[in-house]
Amino acid sequence: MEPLVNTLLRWPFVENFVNQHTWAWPVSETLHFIGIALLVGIVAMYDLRVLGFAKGLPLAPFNRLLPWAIFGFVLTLVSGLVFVTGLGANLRGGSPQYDVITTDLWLQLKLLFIFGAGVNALLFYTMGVSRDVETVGPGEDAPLRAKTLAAISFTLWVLVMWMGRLIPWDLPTAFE
Amino acid sequence: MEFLMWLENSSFAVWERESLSLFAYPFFLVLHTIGLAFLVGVSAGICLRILGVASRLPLAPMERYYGLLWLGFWVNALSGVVLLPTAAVNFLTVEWIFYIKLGAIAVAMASMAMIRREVFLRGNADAAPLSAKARTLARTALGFWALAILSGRLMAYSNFVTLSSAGAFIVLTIVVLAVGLLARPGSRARRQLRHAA
Repeated sequence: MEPLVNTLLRWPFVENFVNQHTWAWPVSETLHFIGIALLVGIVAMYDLRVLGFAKGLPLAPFNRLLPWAIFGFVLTLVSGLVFVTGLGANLRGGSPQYDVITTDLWLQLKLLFIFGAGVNALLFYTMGVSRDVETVGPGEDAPLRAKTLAAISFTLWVLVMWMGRLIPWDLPTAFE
Repeated sequence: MEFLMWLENSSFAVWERESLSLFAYPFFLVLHTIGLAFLVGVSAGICLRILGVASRLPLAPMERYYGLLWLGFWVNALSGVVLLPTAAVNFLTVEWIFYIKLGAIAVAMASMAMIRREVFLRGNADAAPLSAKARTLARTALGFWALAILSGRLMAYSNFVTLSSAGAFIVLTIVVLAVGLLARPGSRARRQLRHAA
């Protein structure tokens, strides 16, 4: 398992780049935060409307705003990949990726919650809930199924941020 | 200075800095991140709408999101105040980038407040087309939020790293803006460039 994780996730190109350019890691972190703001902020605006907040808004036009949330997700994904593949620049040891993913509970939970949010979004679009929601006009209530998925989405993304910020404090040290 | 040292050595600050509990220093950083997402995220949503994204969304009802924006602001202001004593002397006397961050937040918040007055509180926000002033305010807010996030992150690094990172980020922003402005078909920037060439 360890050699497989190593081969897939350890990218010497990224490690060397991060080592040679001191700006690479901090700029990646900044892009990660900008991505978080766009992703969580815009998704929260959408989820909260589905839940009944800002009821004067029709839901269909949000389809033009959500791509910016997806852009935010892409920013977090790309910067996140820099962190994962370039981890060896910051951590010593032969297989930092394997060590971190097997010991850091917060990283494990964060990935689990992102996966959950993905499944939640998939259900939203494949179960026809997104089509029902598009017909919701100003002042109207979204169906219960939509509200459930929106509440789950909102909760999961907050948990992703929570877990993500705790990653540097991996479990063994924190609970000694 | 002595007050800052007193603050840094207060029992709360010592506990916050040195406790291994996840409800000490890490907890307030978590709050600061979540507040950031709502504060900057909602600002971005409103500013993007003002700049023409999702133009079928009526503007007037979007004013309700200011509640979430202010919630994010206060969560960050309060968590920020709580985080300050962990290194009060450093943050307020050595870290010049901290003042850039606070300044950027002030400009961004002022822009959002002016947007509220210019766009939302003038009667029906959807009745008239958005003024150039509103669009300028939206661009200003977005730019200064990005600066706030950048300078906030760079607080963790030395001067050398800070300067090279800021430079790299500025170059990246210019490239992205240039591509974004010139790549759209019929963009005004592209027409102006062709005119000048």
